Amino acid sequence: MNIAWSLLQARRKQSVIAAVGVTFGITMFIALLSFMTGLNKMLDGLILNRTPHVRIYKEITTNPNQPIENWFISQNSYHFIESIKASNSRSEILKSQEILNSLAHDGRVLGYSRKVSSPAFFNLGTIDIAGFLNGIDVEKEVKFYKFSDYVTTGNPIDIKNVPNSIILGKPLAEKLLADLGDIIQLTTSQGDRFQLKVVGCYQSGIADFDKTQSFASVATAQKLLGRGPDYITDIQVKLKSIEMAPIIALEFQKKFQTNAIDIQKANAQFETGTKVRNIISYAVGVTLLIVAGFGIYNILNMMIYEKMDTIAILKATGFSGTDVKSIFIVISLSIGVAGCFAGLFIGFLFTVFISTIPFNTEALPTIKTYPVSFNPFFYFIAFCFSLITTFFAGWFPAKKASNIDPVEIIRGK
Amino acid sequence: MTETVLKCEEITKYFYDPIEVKVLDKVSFEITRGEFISLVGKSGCGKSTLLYILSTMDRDYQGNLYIDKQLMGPKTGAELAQVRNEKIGFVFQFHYLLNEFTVLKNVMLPALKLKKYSEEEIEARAMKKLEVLGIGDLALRNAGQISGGQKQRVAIARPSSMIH
Repeated sequence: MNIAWSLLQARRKQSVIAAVGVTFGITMFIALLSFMTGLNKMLDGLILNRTPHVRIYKEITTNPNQPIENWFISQNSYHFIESIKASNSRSEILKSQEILNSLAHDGRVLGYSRKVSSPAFFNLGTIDIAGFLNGIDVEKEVKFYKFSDYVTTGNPIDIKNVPNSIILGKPLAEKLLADLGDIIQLTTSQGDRFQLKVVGCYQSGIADFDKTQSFASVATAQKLLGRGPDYITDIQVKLKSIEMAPIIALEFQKKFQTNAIDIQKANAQFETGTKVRNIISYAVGVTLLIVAGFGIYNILNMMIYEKMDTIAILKATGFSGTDVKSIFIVISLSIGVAGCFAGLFIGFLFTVFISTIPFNTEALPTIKTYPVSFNPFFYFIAFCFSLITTFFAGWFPAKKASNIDPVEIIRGK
Repeated sequence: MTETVLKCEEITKYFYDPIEVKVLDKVSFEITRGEFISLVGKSGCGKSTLLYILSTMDRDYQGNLYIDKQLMGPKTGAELAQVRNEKIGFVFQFHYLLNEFTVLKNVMLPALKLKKYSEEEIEARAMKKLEVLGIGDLALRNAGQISGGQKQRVAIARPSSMIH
């Protein structure tokens, strides 16, 4: 131990340079992972925050049991029907009230909200702009899906409090030249015309989505469509545990005799993207550390050639090969640990610095600075990696040192 | 007191590089405790080679070597290191001090490795040895900063600090 420390002291400059190599690797590793993960989380949040864990809806499909089947069932024969159409198919969820009651008593459900969505036309003079009208439970949307984060102007609660009011997607509002308090005209798919008061603008960050969306309360939407209070097209369920979503979606599908889709299935591509980005940042980080490891390897190799005599004398006075080996591994590890802690600290400062850089973008109204994740797990991983690489960087030169034959060195001097 | 501490039986040593040379041919002798032995011979006759074998560092020989009646041949590297640490003191032609340490630390090192005494006691003994050799005032200097003759004296103090 003592010897290792003295050898480090003797080669202070080189040791510091080796440690700086590790520091640099760890710093970049931390900064890269934190930044990448922060961005990933933000991008995923963009979609996932707004996506229900399980969505219950009614798909418009043809009847899987055509009446003719019942007729021929006992007669050992086949029937062929071409171009079947979906008839008598309704877009609303059947027995929605029962489903809602059942959800209210389900312990796994954190919350649910009703939704009525329908295509609609926004009238701008003689031109009709196609879009969607979403009737939502605004309080629940605010609570579970951070709806208020995306309403950039106006107060989301107003669509409930102000009769016949609507929140428009920001690009849509700009197109309609509608400002807060203005009245716009909307035509439903049934052809009825309504006048609605604009109480807010909505901006999600996905421009194409914002261009077509508008939000009103469930009651307003039901009124516009001329339906009763049971008319609901979607039920959005937020679960206590997102991992349960696929199983629960299947269960709901059977129980309620309707369609249900889980978040994992609906957004599979996001998970893939996150995974790939994570792999890339880990690969870069590990490469940096391995490069730092080669630095340590080189310096220790040099040190061993320089200290041949010292190693020989240590061995002659009774230090075994194992002792010599552990001396050099201790040197390597102490370079690694010192560099690592400095790197963790500088990496932390670096990420704090990144998180204060202003990052203003039209598309993301809630983001003011660069998103950074401060996950302690990265620091733990970085620490482990640096120990492993420095250990191996020390292991090979140390092995060489332990195999030095003192007679070879001392002979002839 | 005629206890045998060192015994050689027909030690033979070859050098193979560049050509095969027989350096030692069946060397046999015994040394008893308290004897003072000088090995004399002309240059290149194999004095150092024999000493390397006797010091257990060179293991490539034929014959038997006993130190304190123990046969050295079958011992492992770590066991031999232990024997060197405990029973053998070296003073080389070239002093071989560790320049990274102080004079005192150089003298203490083998004893510290043996761990027979506490660090304070080892330090006291080492200090005494340095004073006997008239270099007590150099104890805290770095080994690289003293003259050749002084170095050689430190090298003498190093093994003898093991002897009680």
